[in-house]
This record gives sequence, structure tokens and C-alpha cells, in this order.
Amino acid sequence: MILPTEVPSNRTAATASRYIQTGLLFLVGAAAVILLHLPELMAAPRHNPVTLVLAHLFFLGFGTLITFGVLGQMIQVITGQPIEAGHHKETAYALLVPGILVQTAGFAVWMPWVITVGGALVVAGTFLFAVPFLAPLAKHRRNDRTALFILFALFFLMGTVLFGLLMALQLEKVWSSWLFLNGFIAHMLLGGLGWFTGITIGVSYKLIPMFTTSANLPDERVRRVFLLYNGGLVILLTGAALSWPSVGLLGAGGVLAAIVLYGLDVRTMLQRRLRKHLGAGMRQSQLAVGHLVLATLLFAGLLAGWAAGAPWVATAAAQRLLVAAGMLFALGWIGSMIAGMLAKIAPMLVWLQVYADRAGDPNLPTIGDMIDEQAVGIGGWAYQAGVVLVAGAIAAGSQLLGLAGAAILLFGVVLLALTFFWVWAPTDVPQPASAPGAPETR
Amino acid sequence: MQPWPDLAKRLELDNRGLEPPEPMARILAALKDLPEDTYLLAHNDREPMFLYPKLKALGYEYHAEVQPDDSCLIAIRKPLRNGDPR
Repeated sequence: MILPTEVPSNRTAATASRYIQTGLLFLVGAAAVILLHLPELMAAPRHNPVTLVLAHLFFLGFGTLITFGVLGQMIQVITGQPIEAGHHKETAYALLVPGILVQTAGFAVWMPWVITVGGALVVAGTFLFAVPFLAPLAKHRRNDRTALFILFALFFLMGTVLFGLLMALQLEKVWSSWLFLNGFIAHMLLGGLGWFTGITIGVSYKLIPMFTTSANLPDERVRRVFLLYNGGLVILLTGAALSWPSVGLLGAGGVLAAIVLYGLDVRTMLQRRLRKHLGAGMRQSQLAVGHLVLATLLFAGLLAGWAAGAPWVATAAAQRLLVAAGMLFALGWIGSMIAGMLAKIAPMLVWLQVYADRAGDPNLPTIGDMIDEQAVGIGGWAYQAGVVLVAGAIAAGSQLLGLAGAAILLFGVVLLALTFFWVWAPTDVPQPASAPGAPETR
Repeated sequence: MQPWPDLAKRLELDNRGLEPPEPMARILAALKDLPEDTYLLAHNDREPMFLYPKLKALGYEYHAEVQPDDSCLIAIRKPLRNGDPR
């Protein structure tokens, strides 16, 4: 008998699983770094090796790998379009994972050439993964706004990793003063807003209705947020690149307005859902939007203070608030949204990979049987408590509170990761009479 | 757009309000007992993108149409062995 994972159509699902599982390991690593190196993370200046290790473990290792895994397998479902892409997913994985490890090791021991080598592997892997998606997404951009969101996000991602590599190349010797002055902010804006927030907003217009059994919102609502968000971001990037504060503020205003509208749209989608029980995963996703709005308002307040030349912006308290907002954005928004969606996506991927060919067999597990909802709930709440405590401790400058929060965060992350890994664990499902004795493999 | 087939003999399956992949599982399960001359007419909340390659691989014929409310009607049947009377 041909085992399910040996069916050619299931190979992509197996690759997607590998991306997701590796991403979860990186999340555990990032949470461990927060617990073990909290004093360095709270110390000024914050642009230090530990912060860089954490940022790349979290954003690249966890966020990007899992997003790639989901995108590679579910692009057709997300966009509703027959998009065939991701032909080089396995090679991209083989470049990305060592690239991220080498890069973070380079940051940890501060060896610029090691950072550059890792960065080059990350750039190669990212381009290899992303480029095949561009033409198909562009072809379907008029039929589906989510396709357009993903297309823009992939461009922003490629810009992010390119900027990162260019900055790594001048760690030993500055060869571009413009890059030295503007590269870091461009790298952060492209990655945090352009890639992660852009793709998450776009995709959630499809996944939230799908997983809460709610109707899709009218296309005009999605288009309005798309234009405000990406238009605002392009203007913000232009302002930052040319050191034109008023242009940058205008763009930031567009991004802020788009995020507020997106928050309202999520509320509408959830209010219109048919199934009242949200489930532990979707509750995390709901809280993620709250983190995004809170972080955005904090950033906006600090930006307004800076634009007005307010003296409090230069105080240590304001600097701590900036880092706290960054934590809410990264762990709260991106981390909660990905973890929440994974509670739905991981069992679905495994079901499609392992059981779809046997649909109708009464012995098959349901999606609900495949994930421990209670563990997702406990892990999710621990994660949320950890994020709030760590961000609060950073804002208040309290190391003790921060350590307690980091420990709770790590507990939540480990519980969530184990729960998700369990979805892939082999299960004893009786085989139909025509195919006796074959074990289930995932 | 292709015209709808004659669905005089059909089995209806309403999958609206179900979380994925339940609609796909229900459709594949229903197809197992579907008589040769009968269509399965399924109504899903959205286009079943993962289902299409499965249907092709299993040799089923299908016709899908997205409705104004973004839901999707899919008519599926086994290919007839002795010509197509439609």
C-alpha cells in the first residue's frame, strides 16, 4: 500500500508541516532567550546582540517560517484562486533554517562575517520561496484582495531581508552613510509592518470568517484597508528614507487609520459568526488584534510627542515604553495571531495530509479530536499573561516582574508547542479492510 | 461560464456553517455511495479549493459556481461509462 505521505500531492503538506514545526522550535528558543537574558533586553542601549538574536529568532525563525509553511500549503484556500506556486519550498527551507541559525549565532558571538553568511542564506531562501508566488498572485490580484495583500507583503519581505544583508555587510566598515542612518528603521518598518502585519491583516480577512463560520466582508472594506495600509506604509517609508518627518507622519497616519479600521472589521466578522463558540485558538487571535491596536496607539503617542518636540520623549520612561510597545507588537500581535491560527491550521493540514484520502471512514478522527483544546487554552492564557507581564515590567523597569512574566511566557510557549507537535504524532486509527496493517504516518 | 448540468436526479448536501475540512470530508463521504446517474449538489460557504484536485484524482466530474454571497454550489457526479446522455 502507498502510505499517505508517499502520495505525491501530499508532499507539499509534509513540507508545510516541517516549516511549522521548525518555527515552533524557534519560538521556544526566543522565549528562552527572553527568560535567560531579560536584564540585557531591559538595558540601554537596546540595540545590542541579545536583542538582535531575539528579534531574528522570533521574526525570522518563528514568524516567517510558520507563515511560509501556511502560505505554501494554503495559498489556494486563502485567496480562493487556483494559484500554483512554491515549487522550491524544500530548497528554500534547506537555505533558511541554517541561515537563521548561522545569523543568530553571528549576533550572539558578534562576528560580522558570520552574520553576513547567515544573512546571505536567508536572502537566498526567502527569494527562492517568494519569487514563484509573485506572478501568480499578480495575475489574480483583481479577483481577490487577499492576493494583493500577500503580493505586497512578499515584496516588503524581500526588501526586509535585502536591507538586513546590506546592513550586515557594513557592520565592520561603513560604506553608506544613508544606510547607516536609515537602514535600521527601514528594515524594521519593512519587516514588522510591511511583511508581518500586511500579510496577517490580508490573510485574516479570509481565515477569520473561515474558522469562525462567518460571512466574508464586502470587498470594498478589504480594499479600503489595503489602500490605506499599504499606501500609508509606502509614504511612511519614503518619509523615513528621505528624512522628511512630515511625510513620514502622514504615512504613519494612514497606517494607524488602516489598523483601527481593521480592528473594527475583525469585530464585525466575529459579531456575524454563526458558531458562537470561538475556541481557544480564535480567542488568541482576537486578543492579538487588541495587542496590535494597543501597540499602535503607544507608538502613535510616542511619535506624536517626538513630532511635537515634547521633552518627555527623551526620558528613560518613554524609551522603556517604546520597547514595551515593541514587545506587545511582536509577542502580542504577531505571536498570538500565529499561535491562534495554528490551533486551527495544524489539525487541518494533518487531516488533509493523512486522512483526506479516507474521508467517510467512521474511524477517522475529527479536527476536534486532533488537538487538545484545553491545552491550547491553558497555554494561550499563560502566553497572554506572560506577554502582558513582560511588556508591563519593561515599561515599569521592574526586573522581578519581568522574570516572572518571562517564566510564565516560556511555560505558555512550551505548552503550546507541545500541543501543536502532538497534532502530528502518529495515531492508531483502524485501517479499512482493503488496506490492512498500515500505520498512520504524518 | 459553462451552463449548469441537468440536476434532475440529485442528492443535496448543505455544508454551510461547517468549519473546514468538514465540508470536504462530508462531500467525499457522500460520493462513496452516490449512484452513477445522480449528481451530488453541495452548498459550501466558500470554494473548496482542496477538494478539486481530489475530485480530479478520483475521476469525478464537477461544476462549481460562486454565488453572490461568496458561497459556492458544486455539482459532482461519477463519469458515465457509456456516453453522456446530458
